[in-house]
Amino acid sequence: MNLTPLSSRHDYRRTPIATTPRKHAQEVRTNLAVIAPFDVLTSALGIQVARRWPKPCEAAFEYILCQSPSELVVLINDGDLHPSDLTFAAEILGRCADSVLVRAALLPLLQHEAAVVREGAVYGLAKHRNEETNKHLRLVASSDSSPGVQTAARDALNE
Amino acid sequence: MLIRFAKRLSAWEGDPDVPTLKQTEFKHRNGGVDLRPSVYKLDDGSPEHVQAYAEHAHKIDPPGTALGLEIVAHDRSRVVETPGDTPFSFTRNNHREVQLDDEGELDELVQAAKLAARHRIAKRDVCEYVRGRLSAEDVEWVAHAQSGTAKPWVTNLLPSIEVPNGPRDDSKRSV
Repeated sequence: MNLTPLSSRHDYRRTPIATTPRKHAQEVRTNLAVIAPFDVLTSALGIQVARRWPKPCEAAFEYILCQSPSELVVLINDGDLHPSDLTFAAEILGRCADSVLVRAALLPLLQHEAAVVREGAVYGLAKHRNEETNKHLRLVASSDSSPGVQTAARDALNE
Repeated sequence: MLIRFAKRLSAWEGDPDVPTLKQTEFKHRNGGVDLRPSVYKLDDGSPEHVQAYAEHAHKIDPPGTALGLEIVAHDRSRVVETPGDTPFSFTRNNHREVQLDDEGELDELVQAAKLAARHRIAKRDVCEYVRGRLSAEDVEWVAHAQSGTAKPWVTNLLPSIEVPNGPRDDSKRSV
């Protein structure tokens, strides 16, 4: 058994003194600061995600989608994700069955300055097409500055 | 040749900077830079590319257009055979990983990939290939399509079951 005094192993400025190491560890986890971008999630989900994935990644986005699609929307809207992450978050949100939610989150991303984000948004929207979505995709297919994004939009319209 | 399937068409347009490409195209699903990027060892020619992509994409919903990037490994001994994560023997046997020591080596690989040849693969060709395998009752594709885990783009290609002399349903006959 490790008999090292708790005070020599933990910073008590952030966590209250606990009666046992196990209880102390639980309190440390509870008080864990959730760093950006996951700090925009509700605290419980933010802690769960930050403990498993210190940085944004596809697996984290899939987990958030399974837990709460609307939280993934919050992350997309407010998480200040790097374009190399936002593109995958957008595509993964497209797996959500709620087309209204998906369209509301992804249609604005068709205007994003980064082509990879627009491409990810197209992939995400492909299964949620309606008249409005098709109108936007047709515009992207004909006039996006990226040939790859144009191709993705044309493919989505032809699916 | 060694082919790696790109995640985003637009990532490779123009003259993208290497750090951004690494973040978009060479990142683990769980985060972190991938220092063992996956590639397939394929002959030069479209049929193998389509087959490899069809098998590679069996568990995703493939985009309408995919991009195969030629990867140049300057040291062939660093290309190691590793079983691919597919139920198909072709991609299992032809899957490779390029073992890199550090991000500097990945930078070199990405820089070379920016300048190397690229091969577009159309989803319609992929679907045509899979439809052909299912029609030919290919053991691997039929098993996958009937496994319960296959994606709709695969199951939708299963030949319709025809019952030419099946039992008549007299209950629906008009009187």
